[in-house]
Amino acid sequence: MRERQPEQYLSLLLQARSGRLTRRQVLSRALRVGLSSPAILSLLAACAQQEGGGAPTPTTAPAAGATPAPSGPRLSENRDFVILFSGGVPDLDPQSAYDNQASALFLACYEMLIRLKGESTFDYEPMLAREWSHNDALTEFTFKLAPNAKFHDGTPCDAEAVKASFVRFRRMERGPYNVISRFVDNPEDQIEVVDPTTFVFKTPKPEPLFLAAIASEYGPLVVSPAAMEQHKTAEDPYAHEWFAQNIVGTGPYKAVETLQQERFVFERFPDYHSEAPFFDRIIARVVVEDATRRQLMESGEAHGCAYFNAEDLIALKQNPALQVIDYETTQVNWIRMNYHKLNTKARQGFAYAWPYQEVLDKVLLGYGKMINGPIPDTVIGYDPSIPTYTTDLQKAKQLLTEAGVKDGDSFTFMYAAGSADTAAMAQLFQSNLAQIGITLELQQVDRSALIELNYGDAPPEERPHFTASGWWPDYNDSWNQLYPNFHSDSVGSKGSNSSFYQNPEVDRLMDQLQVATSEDEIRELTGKIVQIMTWDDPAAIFWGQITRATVLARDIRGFIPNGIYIASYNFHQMWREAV
Amino acid sequence: MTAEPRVQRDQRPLVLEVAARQARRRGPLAWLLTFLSQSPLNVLAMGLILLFLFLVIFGDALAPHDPVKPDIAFKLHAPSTTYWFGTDELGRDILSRVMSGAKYSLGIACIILSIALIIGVVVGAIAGYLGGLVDEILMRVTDLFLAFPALILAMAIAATLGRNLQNVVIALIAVYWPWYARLVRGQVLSIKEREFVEAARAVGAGPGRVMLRHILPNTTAPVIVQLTIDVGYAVLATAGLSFLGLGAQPPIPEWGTMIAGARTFFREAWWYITFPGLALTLTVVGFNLLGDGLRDYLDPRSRRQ
Amino acid sequence: MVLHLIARRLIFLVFVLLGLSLITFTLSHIVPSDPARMIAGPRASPQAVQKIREDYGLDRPLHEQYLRYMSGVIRLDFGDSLSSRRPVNEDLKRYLPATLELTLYAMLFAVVGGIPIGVLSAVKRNSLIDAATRTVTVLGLSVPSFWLALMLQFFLFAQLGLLPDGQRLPIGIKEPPTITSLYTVDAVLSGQFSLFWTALKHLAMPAFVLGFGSLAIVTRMVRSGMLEVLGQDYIRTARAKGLEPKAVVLRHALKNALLPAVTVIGLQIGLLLGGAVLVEIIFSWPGIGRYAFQAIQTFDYNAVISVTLIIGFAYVTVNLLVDIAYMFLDPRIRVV
Repeated sequence: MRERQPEQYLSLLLQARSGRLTRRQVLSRALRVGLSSPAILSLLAACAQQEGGGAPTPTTAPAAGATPAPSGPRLSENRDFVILFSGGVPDLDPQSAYDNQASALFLACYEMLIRLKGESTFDYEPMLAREWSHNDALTEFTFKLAPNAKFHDGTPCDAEAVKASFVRFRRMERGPYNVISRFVDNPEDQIEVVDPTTFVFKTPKPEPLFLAAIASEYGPLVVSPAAMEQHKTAEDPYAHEWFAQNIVGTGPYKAVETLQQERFVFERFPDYHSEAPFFDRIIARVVVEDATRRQLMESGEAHGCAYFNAEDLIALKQNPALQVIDYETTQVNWIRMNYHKLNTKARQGFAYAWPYQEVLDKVLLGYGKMINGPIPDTVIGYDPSIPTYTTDLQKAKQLLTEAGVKDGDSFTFMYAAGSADTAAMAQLFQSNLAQIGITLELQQVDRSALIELNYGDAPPEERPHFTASGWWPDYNDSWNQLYPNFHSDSVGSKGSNSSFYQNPEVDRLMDQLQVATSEDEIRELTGKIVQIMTWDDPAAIFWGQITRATVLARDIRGFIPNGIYIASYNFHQMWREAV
Repeated sequence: MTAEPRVQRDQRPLVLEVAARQARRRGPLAWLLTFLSQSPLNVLAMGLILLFLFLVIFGDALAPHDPVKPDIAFKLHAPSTTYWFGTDELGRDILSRVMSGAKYSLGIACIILSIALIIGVVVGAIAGYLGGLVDEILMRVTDLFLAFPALILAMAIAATLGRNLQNVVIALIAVYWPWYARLVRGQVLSIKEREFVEAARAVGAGPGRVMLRHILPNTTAPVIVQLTIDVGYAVLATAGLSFLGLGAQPPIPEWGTMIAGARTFFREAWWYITFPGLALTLTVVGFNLLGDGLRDYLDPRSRRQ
Repeated sequence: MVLHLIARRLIFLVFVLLGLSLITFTLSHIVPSDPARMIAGPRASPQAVQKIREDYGLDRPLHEQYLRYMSGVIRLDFGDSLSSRRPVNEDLKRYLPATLELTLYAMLFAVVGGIPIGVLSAVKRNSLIDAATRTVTVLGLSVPSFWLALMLQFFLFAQLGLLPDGQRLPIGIKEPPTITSLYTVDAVLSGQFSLFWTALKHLAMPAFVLGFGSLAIVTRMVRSGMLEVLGQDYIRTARAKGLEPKAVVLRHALKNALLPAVTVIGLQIGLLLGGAVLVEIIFSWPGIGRYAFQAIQTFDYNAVISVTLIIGFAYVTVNLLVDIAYMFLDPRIRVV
């Protein structure tokens, strides 16, 4: 490669001068060829001024979070980006998985049509689609694809393929399918292919939230229909089992190795339709032990991790070799209560037994704040007038006794390994209950086992009484926060309602909320739902709205945290500076 | 987990048995004093064992703080005058937990071995005494259990039956009883042909009486040596399984469980992982030294050198 | 005579294997929950569970189920793993070499360290060296392996950065071409010496921790064997005759002292195979011990039962081979 560089440089120089290539294209080709930084800089200087748009490149403007280097930052030779997960990833099917570790991977190898821009939760930028538009009535949404988009298996990604992918998403009815089903009930008819790169979504009524939903990293990612046809079976007509293990998307990286309990290795996909990102390889390593994740970040063997307990975060902030980026999110954590095994009074009683202040102050050390229900305080529909719980063991005991719970009764609490904070709060809860004569049996299981149980179809009798859990909306909307978790249609593999909460009044209100037309209506309905779900017929113990943090190596640039794309990385914009 | 070799050299148990008989005639206190005077290591061993056995019985009562109840305002405090061994991530006093945990880490091991011993003695005695087909069958079953690698069997049992200390006890009993069966059987075989046994039988003593009064008492020496060594291994096995999350569950202050919890906080709290580990090590050291000392004491050949 | 004994042992081996499979079969059926649910996994719908029940014949009488189970075992078909969704024996083929390599180096460490130290300690009895040796061996038998592993990992990796935290190779480094599946051997065979060195560095801590207990035992065995031999009359006679003490030691004493050590080594191999679980987990070593543990964590019962069976088989077979070897080495010893 070295020997051919002068010719390639010359050729790129000529193309740059004549304006035949954009700055981005010049940069990406120069990187691919392996030109030196001064050479690249001179090439970019030779480019005619072009309109930007899309991802900021290393030499146009330093991305948010990086200090501008004096004469243009130097690009590192190290093109590997190693991230760490806290547990296994059991399901790699993007139209079924509702797992934030999985979606971090998906952003490397699958694509939505559009994605959120930077930190914004309502501005979009192109991903698989180059252009998009909608009519004034907000009933038709047109997308224009990149003309040369290909799947990793070599088949072309044209409008028909995208339609087939969305049909699968809607009809498979797994996991995050509510993201599409709210707007598109009949994808075969509602998606119209205009030409090989253009198609239109048609909705029967105005849908102002449609674009926000289409930009979600849970669900509306495009999978290869050819691969589905090849691997489907009579029992599995959508090849879900195959896609749970294999990745075939249109993203800039293709999967080279997927060992679900160990590691995932992605390499650059040479036929990617847009400009290539900086990193050649993305490697995700599963490390269950908190302490080991920290050691790996400190030693520099790993470059990014979004899973640390609060003590570690505070300590890592003192480490000059690392950057800790805190960001506010819409994540609410709760303890699900098994609706079939615990009656209403019991659930109310248990809600009074949770150690709210201790958890927020002493375990999370400020990485969370009190919340009065499942709706985070930045989402429309949040009602500050609904009171929060406090820890009151007397009241808890009284309610539990009325519920028929006797001294010495035993209950099960299941949570995922890999988080020392969760383990600590489980023990605090256990201790509170012990004080009023209740035995809580703690079951720490592997993260993937918990996910399998939550999203599987085991009946509620076979599930534990309590499960540690949390959620944030796929797009900024209260219905989306509530529906997959608490609607009776979302039980089992159809959503995230793993505690089998089934309250007909809440269902009715949620169905109204789904088609609400004004903000006032949204607020009113959401308020009523939250009141029932928190106080009258508790669905879960809602204990905190979480502040997240991502830890990166000092030399990583271009990372932008997004309050919706929680614990994910904007791989396409990130790069490493040579220091 | 490791084990001493089980090759049966014919001479050794006999020698041990003779020495033990001699020792017994002198009375237990004299025996103890002679034993202690043999080597300062024996004194150390007895000291450690007595200390930890004391904790098994009185640990809970003497613990300065509540070993189980969290007090999170004091989380991860370094060792101080109030908390001699510091506190853990829930503010619990580690000294109290170590003291209270002795009955889980060591006490459980003693229970396991007691039951394993009883089963082993019964099986071995019957096999040795009756001989023939009964012996053959029982020994094959014993060998089957001997053949199984201990930790794997214990893990499989915990996986299928559930993760708690009871199942660890069951698993480890299954692992240890065969050693005693084999040992006792070998002893019984060699003793039952001796004159004094024949004499007892000639006088009209029934098999039970012969067994209890004449044969079994002469098998104690090698069994005791084996027991002391096995206590150490049983402690490590219990702690290892609890460390993996298959044994004692929170909030039980078993030493292995504590080490598992301490892993996350190693950087900030060196005391959290150090003291339970030291407790484990010292307990096992005590029993190993005792086993060594007993073997040396009861085997006159080594004394000659 | 020896052939007769070997034949006996082989028959016994078959019996033990049958017994092992009976034990694992029993274990997989006395689960508190439904065995079909165990195999199908927590995700499966009740219909999928029922299908598994029929496919595996779990509603048939027990003896029929056992025969079916055994027919699978004989064909080395252990069913599919739930998390990898591959046949379990494929998973095992993948992870076994790592455990073998680790065990090999642990043994090497124990033997190469134990024999000279044991000899030295016996020859210089009651000296400072002897005392130090005896202290270290007692510690080697008493220190919990997982604690030792964590301590070493903390000091040598986190604090000093001298050795890696675990795994067989750093992330992103390509393995050597597969000849023996042992990375160190393959690296040497294919001329990649820096890779060999890297693989060795990754082996250092786990092999040390795994072998420490065996080191203690080998040292003690060699020491006591040497002491016995050294005290015997013919040695004193040789000394009295004026023969070089070193020659005496090396030629006569060592040979006899090695026999108990060999037995121990053989037994240790089997024990190490099973006992590597803790070390593999702490050092993220991709071996069958860690696989077995992960199978437990992910409720992958097929894998748990199958690994238990396999490790049991290996253990028994290795012990048998060692016993046979021992029979040839010392005709006086007849291990029953």
